[in-house]
Amino acid sequence: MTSKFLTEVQQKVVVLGDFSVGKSSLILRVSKNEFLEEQESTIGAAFINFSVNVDNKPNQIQIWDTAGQEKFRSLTPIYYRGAIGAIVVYDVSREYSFQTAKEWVEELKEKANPKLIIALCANKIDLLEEKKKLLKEKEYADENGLLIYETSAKTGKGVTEMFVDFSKNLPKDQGREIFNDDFFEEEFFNIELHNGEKKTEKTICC
Amino acid sequence: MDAVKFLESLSCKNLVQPPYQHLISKKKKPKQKDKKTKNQLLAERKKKLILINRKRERNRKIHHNSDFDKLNENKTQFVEPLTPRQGGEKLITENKDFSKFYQTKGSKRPLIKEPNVDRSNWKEQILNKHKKIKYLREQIYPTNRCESFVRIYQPCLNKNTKQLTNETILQLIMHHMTALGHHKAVESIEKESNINYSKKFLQDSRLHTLLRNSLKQSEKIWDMSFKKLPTIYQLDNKIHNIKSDRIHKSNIVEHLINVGLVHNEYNEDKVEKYANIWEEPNGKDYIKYSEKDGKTIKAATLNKLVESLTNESGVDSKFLHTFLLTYLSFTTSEMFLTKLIQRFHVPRSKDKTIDQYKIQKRKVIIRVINVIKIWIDKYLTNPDQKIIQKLQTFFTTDVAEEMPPIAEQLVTKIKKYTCKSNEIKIIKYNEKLPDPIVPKNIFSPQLSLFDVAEEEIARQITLYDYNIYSKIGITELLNLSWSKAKYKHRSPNVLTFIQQFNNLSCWIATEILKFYRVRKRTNCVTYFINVAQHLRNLNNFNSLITIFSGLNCSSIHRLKYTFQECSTRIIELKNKFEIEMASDQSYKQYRKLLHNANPPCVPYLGVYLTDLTFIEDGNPDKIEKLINFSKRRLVYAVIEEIQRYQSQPYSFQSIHQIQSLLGKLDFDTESNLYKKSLLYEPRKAKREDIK
Repeated sequence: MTSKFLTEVQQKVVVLGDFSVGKSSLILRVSKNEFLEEQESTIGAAFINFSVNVDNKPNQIQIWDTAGQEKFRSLTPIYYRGAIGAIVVYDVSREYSFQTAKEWVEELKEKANPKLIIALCANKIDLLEEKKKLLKEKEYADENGLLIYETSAKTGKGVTEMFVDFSKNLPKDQGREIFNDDFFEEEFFNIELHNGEKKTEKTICC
Repeated sequence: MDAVKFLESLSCKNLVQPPYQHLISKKKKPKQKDKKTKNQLLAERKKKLILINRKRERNRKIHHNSDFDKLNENKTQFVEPLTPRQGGEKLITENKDFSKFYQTKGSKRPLIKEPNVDRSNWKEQILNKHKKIKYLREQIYPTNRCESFVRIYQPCLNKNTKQLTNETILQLIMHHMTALGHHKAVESIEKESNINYSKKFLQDSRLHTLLRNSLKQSEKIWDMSFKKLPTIYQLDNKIHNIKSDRIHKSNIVEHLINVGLVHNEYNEDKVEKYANIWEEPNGKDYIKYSEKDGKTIKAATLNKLVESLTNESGVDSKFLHTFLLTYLSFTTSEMFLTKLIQRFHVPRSKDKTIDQYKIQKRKVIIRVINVIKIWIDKYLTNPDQKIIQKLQTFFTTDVAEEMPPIAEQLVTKIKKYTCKSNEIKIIKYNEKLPDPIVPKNIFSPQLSLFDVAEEEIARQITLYDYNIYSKIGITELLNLSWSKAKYKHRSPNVLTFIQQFNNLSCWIATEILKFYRVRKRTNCVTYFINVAQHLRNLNNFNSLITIFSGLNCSSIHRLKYTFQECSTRIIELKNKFEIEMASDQSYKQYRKLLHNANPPCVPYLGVYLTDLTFIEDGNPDKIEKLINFSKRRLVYAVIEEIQRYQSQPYSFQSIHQIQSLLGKLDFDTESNLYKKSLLYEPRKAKREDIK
C-alpha cells in the first residue's frame, strides 16, 4: 500500500511509540528546528522529508509519524510495511513506555521486513538526572542489534544528530526493490498485472 | 512551600466533571438550612485543622528519611480503603476502616488513664450517635483523601516554610460565608476570634474553589495509583506483566510534577489570577494581535477575550464560535460565566454622560445575552448543577431587571437542562428511503453477515459508523483526551469508534482465515473488496480504511495465492483504493477526496487525531502568559470539520438484526491468526502444495 510511491532514492522511515512519548515533538523539532517557540505556527504536517548527504549523494528520507493514531492498532502494519527503517521512541521518565517500545521491537522483528533497521530512541533525557539508568536499555539494544539514541525534543539535544546518523545507517544505494513489502514473497500484484514486468511507477510525492 | 500557594497550584487547566461534585453541592445544603449544622461544620473544620497539624508533625518524623518505595507502602496503607466513586453506604463503612487506622496510630501515644470508658472505636461510637456529624464527615471525606496525599508525597511540606495560619483559614471561611450570604455567622466568627474580616472582591468563594481544585487533583492521583493502565484496546489482549508499582510510580511522579507537589524546574504556575474585566488595563501585556493584519487576536488574557466576544461595535462570528468551541481548553465554564456576568454589569466611567452610559450599557448587555444564547443553544454540554443554578439566578435577577421578556426566554432555554426531556429525535429525510435489501433468513438466529447483500452490508456498516461518529462531542477532542490513559473516560465515543474500527478489521481477517481452501478465501476477499467499493460510493472512508487494514494485517497480507487468484477487476479495485487511502504525505490523496466528496460522509478519524496531536504539541498553550488564541483557531478548524460531517445523516433504513451483528463481532487474536495463516499457506510453499 505504501512502498509503491517511493522512488529509489526516497526511503521510508516510520516513527513508532507509545502515547505522549514525544514522537510528534521530535518530528516538529527536526522539521522546523524549533520547539514550542513563541510564534504563530500552522501545523498540519505529520511527515517530513529529510535529506542527508551520504558519500556525496543525497539520500531522501521520508519520515512518517502516527502520533494520535496509536489506538488504531489494526492499522499499524500498514505503517511499517515498506519502511526500511523504524525509530521506536520511548520516554525515559516513564518506565511503561519502555515496555511498549519493547513490544514494538518484537512486533517489528517478527512481522516486518527482517532487514529493517530499528533504532531505539530514549527521549526526554532532559528529565533524567543520572545517565546510568540507560544501562539496561543499552544492554537491550545490544542484544537485539538496535541502534540507540538519546534525545531531548525539549532542548533539541541529539535530535537532528539522531536523524542524520540514522539515515547514514540505512542501506544506501539499495532501492526499494530490495525492500519489498514482504521479503519472502514477490510483488505478486505487479507480476500478475504486468506479465512479469515490474511497475515502474515514479513518485507521486511532490 | 506556602500552603496557600500549594492549594492554588493544584488548580489545573484540564477540567473534568469531578465525580464528587454532588458531594460538594450537598455540602452546601445543611449550611443553608440551619445554623447548627453550619457551626458543626465549622467546628469540624477547625478540629480537622488541628488534626492535620498533629498528623503532619508525626508524619514528618516517620517519613523524614523515606524514599519512594517506602512512600508507596505507606500510600497503600493510607489510601487503599478509600473509594471516591462509590455510593454513600460504602463510604460509611470505609470511613470506619479509616478511623480505625487513625485510632491505632493514635494509640501509640500515652493515654490518660480514665477508668470504665470504652475507648475502642470511639470515632465510630460518636458517629453512630450523632448522625449529623456522620453525614458531614462523609461530605468532607474527599478532603481527607487529599490531605493524606499531601502527607504521603510531601511529608516535609511545612519544613522551612510558612504554614496556613489559623487566621488565613478563618479569613477563607469568612469569605466563604460572605459569598453564601451568611453575614451573621461572619460577625460571630469575628467576635469570637478577634479577627477582622477583610473584604475581598470576589464573587466566588475562594475556599470553595481551592477545595474543589485540590479534590480534583487528588482524584487524578488516586486514579493513577490504583488503576492499572488500560489494556482493553490492545488487539492481542496481552497482559502486561510489569511491576505495576513502577508504572504507577512514574505516572504519579509525572502528575505530581504537574500539580506542583514535587518541584520541577519546567513547571510554571498554572493558576490564573484575573482582575475584574472592567479593571484590567489595555496594552500589549494583555492582548496581542497578529502581525499580519493587526486585527486578529493572537493571544490575550481571558478578560480581553471575553471583552472582544462582547464588543460593543460588533463581533466576528467566527471568533465567537472558535471561542465557544475551545474555551474549555483554557478555562472553565464557571469562570467564563463569571466573566460574562462581570461584563454585564457595566460600570459608569466619569467621562461619560448618563445618556452615553445608557447606550453603552444597552449595547454590552445585548452582546452578553447574545453570547449566552449561542452558548446555551450549541456549546454547553453536560453543564453541572452549579452552572445551571448560576445561570438561573443571573437570568431571574440581573437580566430580568434589565429586559424581562428576554429573561423569560432564557429561563425556558435553561430548563432543558434541568428537567430530563423525553423528546425523541425524529430524523427527517429529504429523499425517499431506498428499500433495504433484506436477506431471506433475516429472522434466523443463524443469520450471518455473509447472507446480506454487499450493498446492504455497506449501508448498515455506514449507519453503524455514522451513529457513533455523530455522537463524538467537542470535549472529547480537546486536550488530546483520547490519548491519555487518565482522561480516557472523557472520550467515550472516540474510543468506541476506534474500537469498532479495530474490531471490524480483525473480524475481516478472522473471517478470511476461517477457510482452509484458497478458492474460498479468494471468494471471501472478493466479497470484502466489493463491500469496499460500495463503502467508497457511500463516502464511508472510515470503513473503507478499516477493510484495507483488515486485508493488510500481517496474517492476511502474506496470503500470496489467495490474492493471486482474485480476478483482475478486484485487484485493480484494491490497488485503486490503496492509492486513494495511502497514508503518504499525511493522507494527501484521501484529504483531497474527502474535500471533494458530497456529504453525507464518514471521514477517517485518525487523520483528525494526528492533526490535533500536532497542533497540540507544536504550539504553546500560552504566549508570554497570555492565552494563545491562534492555537485555538487551528484546533477549531479541525473540530469544525469533524462537526460538519456529523450534521449530515445518511438516509437508509436501519435493520436491527444486522446492526446487532455488527455490534458484537467475533474475532480471533492477532497471534492465533498469524499461526493459522502460516499453516494454510506456509512460507515458500508452492501452489500445488496447498489446497
